[in-house]
Amino acid sequence: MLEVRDVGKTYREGGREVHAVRGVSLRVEPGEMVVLLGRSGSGKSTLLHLLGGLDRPSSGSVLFEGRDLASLHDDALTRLRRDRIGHVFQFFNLLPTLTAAENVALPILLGGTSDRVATARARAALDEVGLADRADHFPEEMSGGEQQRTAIARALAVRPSLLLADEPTGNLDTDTGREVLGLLRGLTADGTRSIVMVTHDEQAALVGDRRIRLKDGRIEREER
Amino acid sequence: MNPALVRGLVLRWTLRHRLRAALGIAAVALGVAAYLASAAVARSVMLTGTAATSALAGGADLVVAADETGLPTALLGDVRGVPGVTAAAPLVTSWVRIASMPGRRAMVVGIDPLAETRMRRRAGGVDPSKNAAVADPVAFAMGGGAIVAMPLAEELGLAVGGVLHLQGAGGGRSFTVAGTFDIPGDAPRGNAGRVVLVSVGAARLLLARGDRVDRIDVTLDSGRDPGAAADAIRAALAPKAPPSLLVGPPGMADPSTGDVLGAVDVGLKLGAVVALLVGVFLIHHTVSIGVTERRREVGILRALGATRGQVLLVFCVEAVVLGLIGAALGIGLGWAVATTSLQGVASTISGTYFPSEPAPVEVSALLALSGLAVGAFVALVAAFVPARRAAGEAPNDAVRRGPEESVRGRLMPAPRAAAALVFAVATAFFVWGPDIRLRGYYAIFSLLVAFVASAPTMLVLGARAIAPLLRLVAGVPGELAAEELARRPARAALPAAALAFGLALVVETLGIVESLSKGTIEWMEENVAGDLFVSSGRTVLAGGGHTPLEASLAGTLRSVPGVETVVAVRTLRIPWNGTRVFILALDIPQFRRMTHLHVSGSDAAGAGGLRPRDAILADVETGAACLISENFSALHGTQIGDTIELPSSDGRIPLRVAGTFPDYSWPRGTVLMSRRVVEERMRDGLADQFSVMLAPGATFSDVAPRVEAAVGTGRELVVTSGPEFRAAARALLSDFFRLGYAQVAVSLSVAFLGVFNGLWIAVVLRRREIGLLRAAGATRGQVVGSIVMQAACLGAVGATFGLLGGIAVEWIALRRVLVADTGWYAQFVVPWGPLSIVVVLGVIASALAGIIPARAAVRTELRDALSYE
Ligand SMILES: Nc1ncnc2c1ncn2[C@@H]1O[C@H](COP(=O)(O)OP(=O)(O)OP(=O)(O)O)[C@@H](O)[C@H]1O
Ligand SMILES: [Mg+2]
Repeated sequence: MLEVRDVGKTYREGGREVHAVRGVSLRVEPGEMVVLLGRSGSGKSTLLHLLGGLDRPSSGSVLFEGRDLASLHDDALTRLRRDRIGHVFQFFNLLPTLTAAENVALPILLGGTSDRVATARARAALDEVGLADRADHFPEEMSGGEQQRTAIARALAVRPSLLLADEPTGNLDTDTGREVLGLLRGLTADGTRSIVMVTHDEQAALVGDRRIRLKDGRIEREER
Repeated sequence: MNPALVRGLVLRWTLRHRLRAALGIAAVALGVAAYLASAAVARSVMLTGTAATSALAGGADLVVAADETGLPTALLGDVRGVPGVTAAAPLVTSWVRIASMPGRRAMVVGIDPLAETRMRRRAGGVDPSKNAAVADPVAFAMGGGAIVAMPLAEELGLAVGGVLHLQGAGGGRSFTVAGTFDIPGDAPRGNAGRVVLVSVGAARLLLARGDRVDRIDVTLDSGRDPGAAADAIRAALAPKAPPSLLVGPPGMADPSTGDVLGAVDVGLKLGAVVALLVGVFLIHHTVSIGVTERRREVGILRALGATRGQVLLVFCVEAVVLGLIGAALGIGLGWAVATTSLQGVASTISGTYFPSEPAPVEVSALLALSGLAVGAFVALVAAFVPARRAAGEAPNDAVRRGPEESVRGRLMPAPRAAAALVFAVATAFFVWGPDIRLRGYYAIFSLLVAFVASAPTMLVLGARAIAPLLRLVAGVPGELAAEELARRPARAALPAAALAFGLALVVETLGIVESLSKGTIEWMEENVAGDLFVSSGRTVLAGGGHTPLEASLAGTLRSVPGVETVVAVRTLRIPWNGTRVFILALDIPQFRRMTHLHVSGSDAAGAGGLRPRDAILADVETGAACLISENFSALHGTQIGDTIELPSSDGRIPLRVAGTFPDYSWPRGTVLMSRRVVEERMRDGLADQFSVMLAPGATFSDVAPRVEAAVGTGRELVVTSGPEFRAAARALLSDFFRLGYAQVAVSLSVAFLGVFNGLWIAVVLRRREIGLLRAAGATRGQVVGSIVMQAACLGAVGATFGLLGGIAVEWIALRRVLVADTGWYAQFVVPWGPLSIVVVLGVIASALAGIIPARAAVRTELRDALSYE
């Protein structure tokens, strides 16, 4: 499903080079949930962005469903993100001027699907995360947990085969965080969807099938 | 784009930032309003002109005309003989007085009833065979009958069989009303409603036209190509026709907007363009701040699969929405301004040039639509660059970072430096380079772009220069202000540049108005010599509206006790060199005795030193020479010593240019020549006005009644004293210049909008920073003080650049645009007095504009500001 070969990412800032990710290789199988762990600045977000096609590697390659992301030009990559990959970020996940339902419908609408179909799918996805009654609320009218669940609903609504979550519980209290983790874990149950999740909460990391620890942009250790 | 997305991403966003959106909208509204109002005025004036010159052209395929002296009647037969010509009808028109109603005038149209019947197609409400109930066709044909337009008949209480007394240059004549005609709803009512149709023979007598007609209207056999027919007619008439013969479609002899509006048109156009540019500016800023603030949103959108094109679209749609709302408001505003306050201005201009009722100022549906299009286009242009920036944003970067600007501004980024340089060079090229069409406009445009491109840098430099001073006088707030200004040049540049722009326009307008009014008023004081002026129907200022008198009356006037000298003045506008030039024909021997005209000229050989005015005028008196106005020389490239040839009914009249003189009466140039030549060669023995110099000791109040008694019977004389006449002329000029002041008001509002918008946004973007400042112990007073200080500093720098830019634009407008357009080489005046007031006002307004956002900023709860991200 997803294969990363010897991928590296170097940022250049004011003549100084920052190797955010260096020589990382990993595979994610269908139905698998992989957790990326590591200290702040260890390159977790950068790696996740490389996996999701939000950023292009400086070296190595990312193969998603057999296609090398580096070979795709911007629009093709964008379409791939839209149709095959779901993203959940740590904060500012939702667009403030859209209601929950509209936020969830957004990627579907961007794909050119009609309003009616998109809304129906969005409401179904909201239902799945238990937020059917919040559909017409704006983000600022929802709690942090509700916002994060809305974001997950949005990532699900396009029926992606890969879901990438960057510290989805980072801004939530323990109970709500657990709820969200349970929700994510349940998504892989049918064996078709994979999840890569970044966290630095050891407890949270336990829900994954595998835990990959990053240090200074390298894989330090992998745990089952 | 999906309507749900437009609603969610564009409309709701705009509603959440109402004030900011409102400022952009207001700027576009002002620009569109200025554009519409000026276009509506121009249209009204042109409509008046067209109505006056070709109110009756409807139905003709071709028109045969010459200059204002007309065509020999004999040509009619030749025209009718040309193959393909169905019918040819002669036409004589002029405004005349109605003897029974002093002050009221009618437009006499002399037609040939038989030819008209054959033409059958004359529209415009004057087809006697269709719209008229002619009770007595025989009387009409014999010359004693008149067919009167219904509105006029009603006004005069005339019915069929009644008698109408008309007073023309050929004396008074009575007509029996043989019928009336109605006017179809769409005809230009103002003029058509005052038409009196008489037979062409009767009209020639009434108007003292001899054997001449003004025009021959031609209809062609169906299917004939008008171009080929025109050639055929030209060829057939060649042996006998005057050299000024014009054959072409109806309306060909109508003056162009530029002819009539001249400098006014230039000013109006510039005003609208600059107002719209400021609109571009503000929309640009609104969208570009939106882009900065929404970086993370853009990142999410991109991460979720929005393509670059879709992101671009979001921002472009936002801009177009703002632009359309602004344009809609602008249409309303422009309509309101045009139909209320500008009607008077339009009437003044119309009345100056045309002897007809001014057309109403209207904003047509088409014009309104074009206003919408302009608004949307301007907004799109403005939004494109920031929208592109948003679309080009790397998704990961945008998700990771907050709304802060990603790059620290350098003093002058390379693309801006390049743009500034390219446009500065372009400005220089257009100012000093080859003389191409519209170069002045190009020069102003490139200057403005160069100005905008370099504004931030200039601003930083200016702010750096002022910073030590700020620290010195204002302590901590001053320090904070100076620092912020130096650190965020691009952000601070908008208010300063908007102010600079607005002020530049103010400076430019004031400068041009001062320059022109100074020039024209000085010119008038010097040249409109005379203690007493005599005309008929109405005073003669720039032309039209009066009834010409017989020039021979000058002799009678000269014998009136107390009169020393009388100059008969005949003015004509004749086709020349692709345009129409103004002929000022004077009794030179008398003129020599009373003029103070500044004439430059050299001797007959065209070389040598300057000669005295009197010697030059003596040349003109011979009939072999003329004077040309300075703008004539500039526009047509004619030099002293050259010979120009004026068309006349019996061949060309060569006139050697003996000298030049300053003149502001006509934007296409003026020729001053002997009236004797006009009378003898052009067979025109009329005078529009008599300028009278009184004998020493004689007073106006003594002489005026004697003039009235001597020549006034049946002529409806208007006798004006010199001071009165000049005061009226001054009033007329200031009416023209009132438009300029309206423009100043628009510019100042636009400048203020810009400053306010820019400062507001700067404060919004710094909310977090201000929160930190407050948390670190800055008092509210210090924060407000620093922002107001910043605003005042921007005001000062902006005003300085505005002043410089405005003076540069004024110079280009006067020396390139106006000169190219009208040949007027106005004195370059910088009105320092009013300008310094404007600059001080600019600084104060800017500081005041800072207070509102500053107070809003410190009112934000600390907690809110800090949790911004
Ligand atoms: N656009 C960029 N330009 C320069 N350096 C960057 C950029 N993005 C990330 N970095 C650097 O790359 C390194 C890895 O960053 P990354 O965001 O992947 O860390 P992280 O593990 O997600 O940290 P955290 O847990 O704090 O989110 C850091 O040192 C960061 O400063
Ligand atoms: Mg991270």
